Amino acid sequence: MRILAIEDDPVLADGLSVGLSACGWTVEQVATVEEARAALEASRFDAVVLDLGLPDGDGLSVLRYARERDMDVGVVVLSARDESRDRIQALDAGADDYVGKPFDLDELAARLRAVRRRLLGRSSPALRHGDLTLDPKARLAWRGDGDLSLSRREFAVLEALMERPSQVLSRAQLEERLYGWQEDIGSNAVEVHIHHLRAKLGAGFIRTVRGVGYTLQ
Amino acid sequence: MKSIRFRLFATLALVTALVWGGAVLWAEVHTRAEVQQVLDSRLMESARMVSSMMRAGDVRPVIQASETKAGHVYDRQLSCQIWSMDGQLLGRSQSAPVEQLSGGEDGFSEREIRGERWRVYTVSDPQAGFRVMVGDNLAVREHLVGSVVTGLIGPAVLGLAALGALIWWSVGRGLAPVRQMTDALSARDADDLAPIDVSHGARELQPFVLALNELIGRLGAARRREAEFTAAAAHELRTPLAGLRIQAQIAAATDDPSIRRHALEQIQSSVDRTARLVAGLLALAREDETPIRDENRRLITLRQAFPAAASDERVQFFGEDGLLYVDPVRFGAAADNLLANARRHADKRIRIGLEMTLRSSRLVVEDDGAGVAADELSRLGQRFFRGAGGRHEGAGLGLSIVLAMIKAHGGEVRFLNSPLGGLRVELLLDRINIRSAGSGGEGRKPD
Repeated sequence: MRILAIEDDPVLADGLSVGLSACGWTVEQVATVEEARAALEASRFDAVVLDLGLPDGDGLSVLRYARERDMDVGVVVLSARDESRDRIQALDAGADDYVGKPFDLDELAARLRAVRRRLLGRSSPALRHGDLTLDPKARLAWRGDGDLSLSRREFAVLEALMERPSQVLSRAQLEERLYGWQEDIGSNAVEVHIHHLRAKLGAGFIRTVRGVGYTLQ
Repeated sequence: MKSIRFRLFATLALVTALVWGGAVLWAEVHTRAEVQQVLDSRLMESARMVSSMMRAGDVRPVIQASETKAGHVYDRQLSCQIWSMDGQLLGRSQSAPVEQLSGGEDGFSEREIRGERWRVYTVSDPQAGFRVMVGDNLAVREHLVGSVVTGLIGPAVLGLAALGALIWWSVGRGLAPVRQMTDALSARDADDLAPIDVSHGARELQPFVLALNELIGRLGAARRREAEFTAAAAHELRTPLAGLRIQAQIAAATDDPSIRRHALEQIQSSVDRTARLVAGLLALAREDETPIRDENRRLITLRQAFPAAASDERVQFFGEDGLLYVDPVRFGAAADNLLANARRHADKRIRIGLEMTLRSSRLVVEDDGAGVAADELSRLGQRFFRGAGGRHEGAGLGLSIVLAMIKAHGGEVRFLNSPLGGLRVELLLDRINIRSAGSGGEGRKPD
């Protein structure tokens, strides 16, 4: 899952970045309304963690910006304003969830997973395709007979494909989900992960759609 | 505590009693004189009547036997004696004594006979050869006057008592608006800071109510400011707390020593920053913008106002011929924050100095840092405002403290872009705050 953390406090922003990365997600971090709009415009995110009190404006303006453009992104608002009218205002402006500061990192992660699940129209926390099951929280995958040993990025590729089994994901979309902006990406990194996954799951599990990308069989 | 009701009642009752008592006294004196006069003329009339009847020979004087048993006092009011010119008792009334009632001279006289005083009118008729004496026993007369006066004083005393009760009741009734207001105020909730309705109460109470309403208004404003400040402070403290919590959670959960070390470093920097935030909040909470007091002013040099500048070689002073006449503690808080701000953003130069013209005097602090965007200049000094560009360590309170302290000195603060490239802060100070060094001795206070 690719997350945009919009937070101006340097220590909290660093904590979000490190803590959510530890959940196996790719985290990008910005500190102002302007940077947030630019980031949302430039690439796709699965979820946004949004602080309301930003130095150059209200975080809700980022939320409205995303909703006006029908961006398919889950938004969890993070705010020091913790009165119910603030929560109501944020939820009515299009937020999917609201967490008051200070908060528990595991709870924030769970809420992000729940928001993602709802966005994909799923109620079960586990992802299933054929006899393959994925647990996004424990980051475990298993097939009828036993556990599969997957690297962090292999798991992320598989999770991305299984979230929308009928959709074809391009190489660029998969790269975005796997790597942060600061990371160097080898030119054929995605192909390497797909290759390893096919070796572990069987050659037919992931199908290449020539010139478009990858999807599940 | 003195009761208005009691004071009013005591005053009114005393004044009424004095006036009433005076009136009663006057009536008594007047009545007594009147009764004496009436009784005197009765004596005179009676004496003349007996005398004229004697001369006409209509009556023959008889000496009545003395009455032994005293009847009603009024039965023997008048006593009459008729004497011959040579001192022979010709006749007397039953109540008259046998001794001569007067010395014999005509007109009124008083005499004491057997322990009783008599008032007598004597008429002589030398041609007919007799003398008529008619007298009043004075004890009887006093008794008569006394009962008339008693009849007057009795109702007066009763009337005074009735008046007292009426005054007590009226005063209570007159003070009803005060009591109503007291009841309304004491029934009020402590949070109810709505003004008191002035339209109903008594006109005399209105200045009091208006003053009270003004006080309530000031109290409400102070309480609102406090609530806003507390809310803002709580809001500002939640973010660093969230940062601390998340970093602590990361440090506790990770097995990677480098991640743990990084998290602990973040915790340290956050604790330092939060400590500065709390210090700033406390400074602002103490600072209620009350004007500084003259006895706290001292004359200090520019370098004394900015002690931290000595350790920073980027700082250049100019216009040092002026002295500051300020409260060193509160002005120092402003100076510290200004310099800390400049040092945080300056590249190579910080200029601090006094600019004095005929019309104005100001203290300038400017730096050659990145400066502040034009649209953010106006927001500088707002509590908790941190510029969009600067993810710096500040809590966004430093310039608010500067504003509050300079306001207390009766000055103003302006934020401008400096020709050096960075921020220029001008403290527009009243003349009292800046003295030129030449006349510096004037107003110097011994430390």
